[in-house]
Amino acid sequence: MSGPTSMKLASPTPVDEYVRKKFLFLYLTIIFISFIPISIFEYFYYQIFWISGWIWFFWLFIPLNLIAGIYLLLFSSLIISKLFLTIINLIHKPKEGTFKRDFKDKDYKFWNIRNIIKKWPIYISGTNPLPWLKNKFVLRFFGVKIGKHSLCDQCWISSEFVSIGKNVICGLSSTILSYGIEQNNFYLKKILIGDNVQMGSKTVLLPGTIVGKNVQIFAHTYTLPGQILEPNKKYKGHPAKMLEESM
Amino acid sequence: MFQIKNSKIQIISTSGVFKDKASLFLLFEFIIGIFIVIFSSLWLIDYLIKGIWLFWFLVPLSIYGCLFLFTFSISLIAFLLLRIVNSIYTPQEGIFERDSKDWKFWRYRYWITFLPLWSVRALPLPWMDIVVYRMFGVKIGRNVGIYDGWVDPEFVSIGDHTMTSLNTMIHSHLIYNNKLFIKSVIIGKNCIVGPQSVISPGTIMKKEAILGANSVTLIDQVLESGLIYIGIPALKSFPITSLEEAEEKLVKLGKYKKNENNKESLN
Repeated sequence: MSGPTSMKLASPTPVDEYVRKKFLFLYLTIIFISFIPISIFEYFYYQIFWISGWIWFFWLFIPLNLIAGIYLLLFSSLIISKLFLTIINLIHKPKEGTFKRDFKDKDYKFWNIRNIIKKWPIYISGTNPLPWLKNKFVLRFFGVKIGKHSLCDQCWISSEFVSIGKNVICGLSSTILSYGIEQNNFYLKKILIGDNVQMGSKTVLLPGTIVGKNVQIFAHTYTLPGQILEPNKKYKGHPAKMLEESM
Repeated sequence: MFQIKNSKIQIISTSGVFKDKASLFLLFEFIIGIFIVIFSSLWLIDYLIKGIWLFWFLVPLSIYGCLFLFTFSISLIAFLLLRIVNSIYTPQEGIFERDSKDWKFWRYRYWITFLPLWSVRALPLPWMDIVVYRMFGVKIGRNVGIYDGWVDPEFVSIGDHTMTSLNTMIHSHLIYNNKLFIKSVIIGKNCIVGPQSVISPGTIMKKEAILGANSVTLIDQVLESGLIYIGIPALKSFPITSLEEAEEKLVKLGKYKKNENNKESLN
């Protein structure tokens, strides 16, 4: 029962090549700074257990040390990327709308910069084999609203302009995209998902879809951008069409 | 009895992600696996402390060996844990409520098999995952290719010479309105499952059946042998024909002109 590991199930953060080259230094500094707390932690671990002569305890606590290392890396990278994000958002506030796919357009450029900042913590949480504090925790940290008891650890969810209700089941490897690129245009639109929604595996929600309460979606359905799914109904197909049978 | 069976509408979703005390099985396996790796490589650490130069040549080999040792030890522990859990309560097919005993033990089995399959799929050996699936009780025949995707580790049987493509999902379970539904999936000999397709619980693929790309099967659907199925749900079917036969049919219908010159040039 493993998810496809070639796709790490971390939420999508595509970055344009121009920004990738120009802001590579920023990305590497985030990675560099996030490793500093681990190196301090390992130094003290070595000092306490190896040098003081408790060598058996050194070997005994190594698995716990590894687990602590994974989560230290996650937390440190999250805090640093959040710091950079707040600075970037002060310079230019993220907003919805249709923009030109060009670097003269400020919104497109800053969307790319936001993605390159979020990339590292999202990658760590996506590749983590332990089930605690995974994608859901990271997305909440970046400001996505996710309700209680909703399952969204094994699917791709955009890290901004998404809000998910309570008790939602997102199927395996389903994608929720709040951005879209169409030739020279670039869209950013909010996705709203109500309470108690059940989505099958491999559903795709495109930017601007609004899913009502108690909606059930068949496996492998795609929605149109800006489509509204009415509450208490079932949907199926490419694009999603309402089924006649009621609940 | 059960709503899904009568109507043609089915929602397929996985839900092993319910985290509770059952996921501590995973932590147990993780810790013991790392202990085994450390104790097997203690002799190498001894080299490091004594300052023998041979250590630096053996490091890349030991990293490679430790990865495989870790996955093998983890899957052995998971196999033993599965035997114990199944002896307490044997897994059954059927429909179960949220608070029932079956649901609880299904979650145990999920978290026991999670970590070994994760680490096996991350390793660069393509046939290791088949060995681990066989250990967990999935019947897999000879010469089978399972590409990167999702296969449930119970109630699935795959025949000889079949191939599943990239990112296919083979579910033997389904969650629907606080109910859990488990039914076995049978895939016969010489079958092909196309990429990005979803197989829902209870489907039976007879030998030499083909499920096309981007298609979803219904619950309890039977795919007959010698036919290609496509669609969402996969209700359209076509007989398997060779390229020349298909060309002749199209020429008879008048939708296609045979290009003789092109063929000669190819020969």
